[in-house]
Amino acid sequence: MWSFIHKLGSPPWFFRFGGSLVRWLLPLTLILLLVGAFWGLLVAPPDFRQGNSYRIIYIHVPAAVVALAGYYVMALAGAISLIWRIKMADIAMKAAAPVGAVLTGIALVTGAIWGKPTWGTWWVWDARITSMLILFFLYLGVVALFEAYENKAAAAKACAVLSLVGTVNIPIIYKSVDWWYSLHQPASIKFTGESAIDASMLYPLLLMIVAFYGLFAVTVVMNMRAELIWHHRQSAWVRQWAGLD
Amino acid sequence: MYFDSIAAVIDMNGHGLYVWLAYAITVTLLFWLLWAPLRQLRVRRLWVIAEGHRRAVSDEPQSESAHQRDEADKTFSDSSETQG
Amino acid sequence: MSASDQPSLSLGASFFRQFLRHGKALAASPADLLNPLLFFFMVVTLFPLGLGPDPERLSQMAPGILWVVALLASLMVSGKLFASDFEDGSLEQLCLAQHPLAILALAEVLAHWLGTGFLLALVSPVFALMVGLPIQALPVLVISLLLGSLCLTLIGAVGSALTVSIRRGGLLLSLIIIPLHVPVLIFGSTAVVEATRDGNAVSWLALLAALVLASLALAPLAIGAALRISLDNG
Repeated sequence: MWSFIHKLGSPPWFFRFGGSLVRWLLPLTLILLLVGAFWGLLVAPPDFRQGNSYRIIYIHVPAAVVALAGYYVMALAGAISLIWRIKMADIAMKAAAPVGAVLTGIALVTGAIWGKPTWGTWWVWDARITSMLILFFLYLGVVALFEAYENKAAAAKACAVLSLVGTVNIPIIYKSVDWWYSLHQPASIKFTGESAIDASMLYPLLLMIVAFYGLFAVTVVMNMRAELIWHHRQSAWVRQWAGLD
Repeated sequence: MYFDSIAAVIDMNGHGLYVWLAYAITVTLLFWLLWAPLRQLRVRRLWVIAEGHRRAVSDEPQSESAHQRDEADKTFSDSSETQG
Repeated sequence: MSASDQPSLSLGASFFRQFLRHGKALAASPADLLNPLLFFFMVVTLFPLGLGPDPERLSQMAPGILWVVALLASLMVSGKLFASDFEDGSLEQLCLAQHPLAILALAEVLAHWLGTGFLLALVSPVFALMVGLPIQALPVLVISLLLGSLCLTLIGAVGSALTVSIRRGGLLLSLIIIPLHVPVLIFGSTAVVEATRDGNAVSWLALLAALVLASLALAPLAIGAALRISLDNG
């Protein structure tokens, strides 16, 4: 166990391990995505109130769930890099930020598109979509801060601090936006009460959530591999990998 | 299978535009997420190979100029990193 | 240097000294004290011009207007918090001092708050009357701004510490800080809204106070870490 964790910190070992991980996880994830999308789009029954437009849920909710979890993953990597000064954690954090930002963007865009047939407008200041928007800003802040620093080692540490501050704030933000929304909620827009979702609709949703987690893992590892090669471009193992020597 | 024809799948009782638009945007973005690191890896591998050849060529005449060449390459690589 | 000059300076004394140093620097340049107030004044003027002079509508929007402008004013000045310390090298000295950087930085943040957010909260009733906030909501407005601006300043200080080594970091500072300001804005403006309706403003003020305590405890740690990182970068 400890030797495994120790090995994770070794760039050449992680590069090879990540490569074989991607090799089986990527096809698996793509198959899950295809099956889930097929199931959700074509097999599951329509919602009795929203009709077929609800089928956007199969990408909207997984993207939102994984985007939020991704922020915690990023902050955890940041904490590891700050406390134990492990370089690999820096690289993981830098690799996770753009993926999380894109997933948040997907959740926002699909939410807006879903809003049009449901609410009649592209954008409504609903509690969940507002929280998602703020999460998007949090991600953009981390990405922008990293780009602005000239010293990339310092950049990773600064982003670690920022993402930890953000992590402390996220529950407060979500709760405050929730209260804010319930205070101002207009009576005409009453969307999804806590209704139980039928199993025929739930299973494809769970499948898609698993698939999005897999996708997050695969993309982060792939980004990390590309980053590792650049960091160690002068070292022997990279030259060997490129086919030199 | 809920739908009974291709046309019904495309139309989705009038919601087809929204559903398919949302899925198309998602597929595009996810594809980009997967493609970007693969492309980056390929480009960087070519860079490492080119760098290796440059080094092999410049090593032959005199070590002095080869060293200078190395320094120049380092600055080049740093500036290319900020661009890419 | 200062560590060898006064080897026996206690934590409290050096905290106080740091506080005075920053306070004196603020007091020496009245422009720094007046600018946020002037900014507040002018932006509040923009709202009736943009929204129309209808007193009823303005007074309905007054809590939101006042709070958003206060947030922007705080955002505007928080970029300057550590800038001069970073430029003249006194930040490096602070890092070498015998006491934790987090505590010394907190002294500066508090002095900065007294010169900006605190003053702004005290003056805010004048601007509140300009946009027609009901008189009975004035005490809650002042208290909410007192608590809220301290919280905004503490969070802003984290952002300022993170971006102080970056040239033209102003826009970046807004980007990383605005999302973190959201709960403060919600709690503060809701408290004022509740006060205009004679509703339950106290519980929202209590939430704000909780945020202040939490950020007083946690923000200095982040500020200290961020200042060290910024020194590495610069």
